[in-house]
Amino acid sequence: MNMRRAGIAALCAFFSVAATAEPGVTDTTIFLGGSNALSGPVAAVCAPASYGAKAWFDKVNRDGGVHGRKIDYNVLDDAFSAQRAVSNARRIVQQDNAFAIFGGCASPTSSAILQYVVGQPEVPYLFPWAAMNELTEPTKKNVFALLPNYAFQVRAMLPFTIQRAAVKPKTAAFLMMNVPGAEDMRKAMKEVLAAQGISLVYEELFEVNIPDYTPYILQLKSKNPDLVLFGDSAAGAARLFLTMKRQDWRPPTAFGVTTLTAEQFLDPVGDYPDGWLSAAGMVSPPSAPESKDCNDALKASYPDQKPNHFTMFGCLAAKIGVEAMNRTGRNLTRAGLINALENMRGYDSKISGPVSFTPTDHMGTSAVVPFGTKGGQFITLGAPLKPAR
Amino acid sequence: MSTGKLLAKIPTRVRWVLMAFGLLLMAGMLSGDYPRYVLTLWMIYSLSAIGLNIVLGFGKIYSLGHGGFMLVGAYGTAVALNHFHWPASVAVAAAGVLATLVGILIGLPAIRLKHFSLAIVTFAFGITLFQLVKSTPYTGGPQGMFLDVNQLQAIWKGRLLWLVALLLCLTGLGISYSVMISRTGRALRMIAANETVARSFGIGVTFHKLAAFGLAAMLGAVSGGMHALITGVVAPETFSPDLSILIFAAVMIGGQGRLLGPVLGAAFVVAIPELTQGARALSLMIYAVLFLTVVTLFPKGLLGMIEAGVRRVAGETTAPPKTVAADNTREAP
Amino acid sequence: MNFDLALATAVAGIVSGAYYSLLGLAIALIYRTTAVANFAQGELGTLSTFLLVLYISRLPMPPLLQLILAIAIAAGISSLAYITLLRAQRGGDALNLTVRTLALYTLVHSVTLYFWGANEPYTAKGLFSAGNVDIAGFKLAYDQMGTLAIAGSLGLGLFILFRFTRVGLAMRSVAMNAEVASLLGIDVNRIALVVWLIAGAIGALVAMLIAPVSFLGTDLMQPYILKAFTAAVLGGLTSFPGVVVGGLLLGLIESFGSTWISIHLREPFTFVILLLVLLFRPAGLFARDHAGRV
Repeated sequence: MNMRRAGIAALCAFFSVAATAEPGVTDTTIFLGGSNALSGPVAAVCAPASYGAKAWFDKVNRDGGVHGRKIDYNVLDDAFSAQRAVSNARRIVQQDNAFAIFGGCASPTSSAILQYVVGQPEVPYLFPWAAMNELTEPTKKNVFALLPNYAFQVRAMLPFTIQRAAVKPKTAAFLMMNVPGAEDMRKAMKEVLAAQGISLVYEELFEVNIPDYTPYILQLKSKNPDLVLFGDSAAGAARLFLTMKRQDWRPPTAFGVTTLTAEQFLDPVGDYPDGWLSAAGMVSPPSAPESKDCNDALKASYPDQKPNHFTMFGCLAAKIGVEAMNRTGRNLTRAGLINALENMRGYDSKISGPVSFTPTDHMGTSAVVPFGTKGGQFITLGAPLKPAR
Repeated sequence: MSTGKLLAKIPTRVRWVLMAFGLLLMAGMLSGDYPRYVLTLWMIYSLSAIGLNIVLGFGKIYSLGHGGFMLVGAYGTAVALNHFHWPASVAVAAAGVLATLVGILIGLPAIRLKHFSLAIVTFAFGITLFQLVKSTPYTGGPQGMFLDVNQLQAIWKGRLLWLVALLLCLTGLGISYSVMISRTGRALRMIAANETVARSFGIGVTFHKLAAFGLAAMLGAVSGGMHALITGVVAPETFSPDLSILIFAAVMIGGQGRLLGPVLGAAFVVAIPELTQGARALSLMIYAVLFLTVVTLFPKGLLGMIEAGVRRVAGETTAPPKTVAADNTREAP
Repeated sequence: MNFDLALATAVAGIVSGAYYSLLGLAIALIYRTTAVANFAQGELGTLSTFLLVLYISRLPMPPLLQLILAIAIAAGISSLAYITLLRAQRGGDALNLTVRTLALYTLVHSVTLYFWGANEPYTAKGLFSAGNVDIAGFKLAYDQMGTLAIAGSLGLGLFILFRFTRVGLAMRSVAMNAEVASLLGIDVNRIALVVWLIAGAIGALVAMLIAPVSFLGTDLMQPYILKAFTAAVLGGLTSFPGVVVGGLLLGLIESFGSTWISIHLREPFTFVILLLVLLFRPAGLFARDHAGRV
């Protein structure tokens, strides 16, 4: 492009002279934007979700695309900063004119994007890896989720965990990262504990990824609860467990949320949690036979990225997104996409439970899979669980 | 006095600045939504840098906690909006007043401490505030707070906020200029040169230092409050100690002690991430190199560099003194 | 709080205190001899730890040699920074030099972020195995013991260096009064270089001790810079043993405060201590004369 045309293009961008009818959709391309923690404290855990999704989109593009259009998914780095996430969302919608905001990871940043997106009700915001209730409670027309929120995870899985314990726990502790969704999780936990007659002896929220957990473990040690519910980024949880090892104390039973189901947790802790930790998961592990096509897609696009739960989630999100866009048809509009999603019932993604949305329920999955660890691997402990209600 | 005569009395340099801002105003009004958002942020960071310049540039007081004032402004505004339900303008103003008090409080150790210790204490101040807001639910904990300002941002598609930001920046420049030519400005320059001598001249070192900190705090807080309104998010990591370093670098890059230096420096704060398409590490690296280069090789900042270049082009061999420390009855920049 | 818990808290406090002391020593050393407050102290340590964990550890060398190589590189980078940034352009006053270290901090941080920010945090293999030793019923972790041993030896080594060697004596003279020292024939520039070398090595060693516990990330040393400055200030920047005691004290106060009272007060503690010392005992806790070069 010569200088004059470049100059005119820049001017047009500055004064935002747009041309397309439906934002983000041309005859040949569907443009999706996303914001994720590609660098910073949770990058190793969160970034793979974007790679998993992109890899699947690449595969779909190779197979002909969606009604003849290729998907162009561009992810901006928010480095786990809510501020940057909002900036990115703004850029994606206003500057890049994306068709939808897709994916993303971590409830603090997704919360910030949610706030922005609520003010832009025509723009779809799809499937972030974020487990706070406010994503789908109350239902927002343009926001759809696939990850069950923390409160749901507790209600579905805590009774199971309690039941599995060798000796029924009498006391419990709550040690959770301070992110959106934590308070709802606390509430849900208190309900379940009360129903089971277990008393809560300790509750603390901490900042994600603190470098030193010693004070918390020392406090826990002095209270000596039978059951600990906790959540932190995978790496943070690993450090938590290593601190327990160092201080030579651990609870008889522990329950962790979906953030734990990542290799960044497993690799450092080895077989330490075997037999007493259960964690919530919602996607088939990469080692399962049905995960093959996701793994193959990942290998084709990102050969250096090891498959893990987050790449699987990204793949799942991409699968659902593609299915919805296919159902919308060649005349692809944002309203059409939302409509297609709201009419999806019992879709089989192969790597998760059935995915359904309704006009009043924008949470796609309705069960969690109980995971445990054995010999440095994740294993499923039983059939998918739903909350008792 | 007729308008014509009044206009004629405005010095040429000021007329150029006003014209430049007029053009900027138009650009912001006509541009697309996103570029306008970036320009608005530029004005806001300029305001903050202008505040720091009063302490750092005029008084050579190395305040490394300026981000803390912005934090007070942003969080003050958020708390006022969310917990007390005050209207936006009142919230920002109140935050400004609060920060001024905080600034004076921080200024108190500044009287006794010098140099290294002061730098450490101001640095510690920034870190401590940062940790404090992360630790209580009242300020949203580590998640921060969201402001319900979607409507405010939507007014005239963001042009209202743009106008306000621009006007605030101009006001900041006005304040900065009047400090420059006032007793406080002269006192600060003398204190910067030699505090003991200044004291022996009967200059109220305490008063002027506190005034400087108070002003810096107020401007920083208003900037922070506006930041909150413009982005709708008040998150702790935005106001981490790195922000203090960022604004500090902006002042130095632009040209410390100069009137327009902060505005120029703030442009880099905002422009570099945009130009590198948000590739965070790359933009930070460019900014760091710029900072390092300016501090090591060009202590007069970019403004000094530009002027030296212009002078060379214009063929002058000796540079007339242009820094603030010189004749202070002449008008800046 | 029972005795066991108190002991565990104390041990944790001493371990962090050891880090603060060592870093504080490095900062005080640099400040006393070159009049610069080195804000980049931590980041250089982070950088060298990245090099160790990601590259040097892959080399076919015994781990101890790898460690020494990494520390040597860190010392080298530190002296290089001193030569290029501070010595080469003497134009600025002491504060301008300090600001340069601030810029250096930003630069090094951005470099580590650029190269390794995408996959952090990384796990770093520790020097010590993960186990506990039983001392009369109290369990002490191997890595805690090891850290204390290394920190202690380093402290002792520095003490011997200052007290009993000519280089150490020269460093102390420069620290007391650079002008007089140079008049007495000491090559101040050379001493300054040595000081920056040592400080770089200390910073790297501390970072390498912390990394296995906190995991290696670009913000590895972020929490420590202020605490290091506080430890240095507690020692008044004049008395090196004062810095050590100051650092240990800080670690203990922090540990007991956060475990007993409230975890959230951890950072404000540091600030309050710093402020109190600077306002009321600016020459440090242990100074005999109160006219400190503060």
